[in-house]
Amino acid sequence: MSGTTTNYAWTYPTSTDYVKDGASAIQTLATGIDTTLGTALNNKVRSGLTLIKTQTIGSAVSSVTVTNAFSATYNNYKIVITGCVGSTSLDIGVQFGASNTGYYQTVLYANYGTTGTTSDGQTNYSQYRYAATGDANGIHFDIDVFSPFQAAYTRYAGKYINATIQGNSGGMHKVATSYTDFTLLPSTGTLTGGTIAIYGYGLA
Amino acid sequence: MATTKPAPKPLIQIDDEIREMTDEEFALYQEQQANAPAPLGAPE
Repeated sequence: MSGTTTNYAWTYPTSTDYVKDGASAIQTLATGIDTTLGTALNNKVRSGLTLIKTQTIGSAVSSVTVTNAFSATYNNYKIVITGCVGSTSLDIGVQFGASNTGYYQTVLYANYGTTGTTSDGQTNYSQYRYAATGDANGIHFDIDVFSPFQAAYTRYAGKYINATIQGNSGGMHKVATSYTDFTLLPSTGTLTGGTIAIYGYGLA
Repeated sequence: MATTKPAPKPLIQIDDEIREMTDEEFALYQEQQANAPAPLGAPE
């Protein structure tokens, strides 16, 4: 005669049950545990951000490609870089896969301590030119990427912050292709050090 | 007769691999650099 656990009523065999029924008893127990955990953990559908991977940036590199960043697991992503410096004042462009056309972008910014804003941007460009910026004191890279793995137009939104200005940038890549990789392209000079962290936005 | 060693090309990183650009990659890189607008805002 089987028993059940106190908290979740998982069924288990008693010492007098037949050994020949052991496999069935284990299956019943495993199913019970799986159901309980599935309920507790929302059947693996997570909310919030989940770290997908990190990539250390080398020394004096003129481009950095991160592979296998995007997949069917997440629709949207956050990419953040910490501890990286530029060899000079530079922008950091972003490309998806090998696509070097179809990037539309605007950045709206203001100088510190001033009123009024200025805008700049590109149409049908080779990359998101103003995805991020920085200099030898550090770069600021914090962008959200929307639907890069889907075969649809990919959008992004980010902050453009350097020593003299602060702004918001964003754009659309009007190429309906699925991408798993992205590349960072400094507009001049090189990047050194720091870590790229890629997070996925949970669907729940 | 002394020969001049060619200048190293810029480094490219793909995940953990870092290497010099190929001739083709370098040509594309130079084209992008030539057309790149300057960073916004005057650097300090």
